[in-house]
Amino acid sequence: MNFVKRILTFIGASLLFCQLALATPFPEPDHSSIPEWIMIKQLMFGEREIRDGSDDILALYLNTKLDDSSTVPIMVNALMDQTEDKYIKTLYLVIDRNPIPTAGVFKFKPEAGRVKLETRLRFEKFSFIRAIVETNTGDLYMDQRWVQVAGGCSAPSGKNANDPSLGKMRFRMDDQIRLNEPNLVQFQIKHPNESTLASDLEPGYAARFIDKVAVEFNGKSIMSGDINFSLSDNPIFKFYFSPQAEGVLSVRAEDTHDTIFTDSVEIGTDKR
Amino acid sequence: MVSTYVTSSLILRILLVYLMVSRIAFAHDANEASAYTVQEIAEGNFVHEGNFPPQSLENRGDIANIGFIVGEKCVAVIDVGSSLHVGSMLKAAIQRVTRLPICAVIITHVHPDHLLGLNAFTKDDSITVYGHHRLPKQIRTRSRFYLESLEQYLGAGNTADHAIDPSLVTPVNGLLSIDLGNRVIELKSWDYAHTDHDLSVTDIKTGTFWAGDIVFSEHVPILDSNIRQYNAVLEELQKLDVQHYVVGHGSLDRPWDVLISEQRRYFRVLLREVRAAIVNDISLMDAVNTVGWTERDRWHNFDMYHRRNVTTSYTDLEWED
Ligand SMILES: [Zn+2]
Repeated sequence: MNFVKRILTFIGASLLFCQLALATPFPEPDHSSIPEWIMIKQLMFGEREIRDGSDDILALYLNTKLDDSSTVPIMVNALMDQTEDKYIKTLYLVIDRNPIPTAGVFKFKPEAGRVKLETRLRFEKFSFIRAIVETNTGDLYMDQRWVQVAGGCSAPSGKNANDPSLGKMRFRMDDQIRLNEPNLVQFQIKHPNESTLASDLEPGYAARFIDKVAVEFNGKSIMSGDINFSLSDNPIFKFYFSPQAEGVLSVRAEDTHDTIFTDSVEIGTDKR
Repeated sequence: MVSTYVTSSLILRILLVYLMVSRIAFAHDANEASAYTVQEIAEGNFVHEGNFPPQSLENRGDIANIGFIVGEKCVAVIDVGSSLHVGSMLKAAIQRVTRLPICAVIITHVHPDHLLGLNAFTKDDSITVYGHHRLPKQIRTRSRFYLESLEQYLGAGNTADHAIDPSLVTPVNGLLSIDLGNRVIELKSWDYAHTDHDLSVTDIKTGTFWAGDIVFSEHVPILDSNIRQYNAVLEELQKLDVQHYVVGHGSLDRPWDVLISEQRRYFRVLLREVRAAIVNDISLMDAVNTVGWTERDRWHNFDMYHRRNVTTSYTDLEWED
């Protein structure tokens, strides 16, 4: 069993320049019978049914050819609108075989108009990535993809937590904000988001990663997330929000060393 | 029940691969040593030309250009190959060329195809191992993966014998001259180039520049550091008076100027198109499949490494002011 485990670990593709290609890729297994998933599902959702949402609820996108296990961009798009009657309340990102399988739990509001989330993830082993949404009515839907890169969590972090620009944020959105319809907004935080497995961390040192982000508009929550080092360094988030007026968008992030990072941006209907 | 079935069929498949690996490894051993040839590219400078990466059971990890410089007193080895197997073949090749002892082993950077054959040389106490001052840390943090991958790719059963002791490395910070007996070679540590710990070697007598992986020939350049600083290093290299050269990968009979200008062109395209993608809000997910693909037919192994170069550049340049 140990040998199987070892070979499946398939080790640090991110470090193996000059020897990347694996002769025979592992074929995609049946996503419902992954032992880790069976356990995670039980722990997170108990006996509740999780339906296939790929037809009409959500779609998970990522590139089929992946080359950097510590920076895998993903995108989750809702295929349904957010309405007061039916909306996506929570989005769970699960990477079955990561040290912390629940990569992120994101809360959305009906006022978002539509749910979308783009971010970047680390993969420690060949694994399924699952996007699971929970609606306000308590229904669960899932879409999933099989990912064949590994080593992303144990790669040396290479980034410096003492970087003077730690916590610096970058916002990005259209110059023209349209009221009462979904607008894309992106923010990114300069942070090493250290993995507890990173091979260059000193023994006994508690990895420093962001575990909470919260976004408000004019003091009202529009999106929040419980996250961890399954997100790549310099965590990035892109999502929709539907402002009803001009105002201030503010972000608050908190890391495991109890540092709080905040920043905000004024949003107008003409120029930013 | 289902999961038990999956696991056992997987074990079977892995076992099959494993058995194949060890059989092929045996079949190769018999007549390979004499096939490991070196050529004298400049007086006293000998190189073995490796195959193109990636390493496989067929090439047995012989995927880098590695070699040695012979003085009147002793020999300096520059890079030692992917495994003890490759390292031993290089050592045998040296002994076919000269009876002089080996006094120095120079490691250009941590990547396994340049490093893991080291223990073929280190049993001898009179040998000093030189590396960039950041090399020991890189060995500490990366070698576990490298050893595991050795088993995976080459079926080397003796991975533990390949473990590199980082304290063996005599660190080089700046310039260091070594006299091999009427032949001085100069080691130079670079800041951010192919990696953050590249070491180059110049044989002063013949003007031969051993670039390690800072410069690539035909093989797509690989970026394991910072593109802007790497680009500046190439500018500096273009000004050097290079009579002969050795680069880590690709053929060695093309003009030095061409190598540098090809690589600078690739970096220019990367820099320009990555910056444009960021300005135009092209996401990283899309950028890896669009940025720089006009370069595709100009390089070996482009499909294997280019996307990663885009990722490395993009995640750096998106913070540019
Ligand atoms: Zn290299």
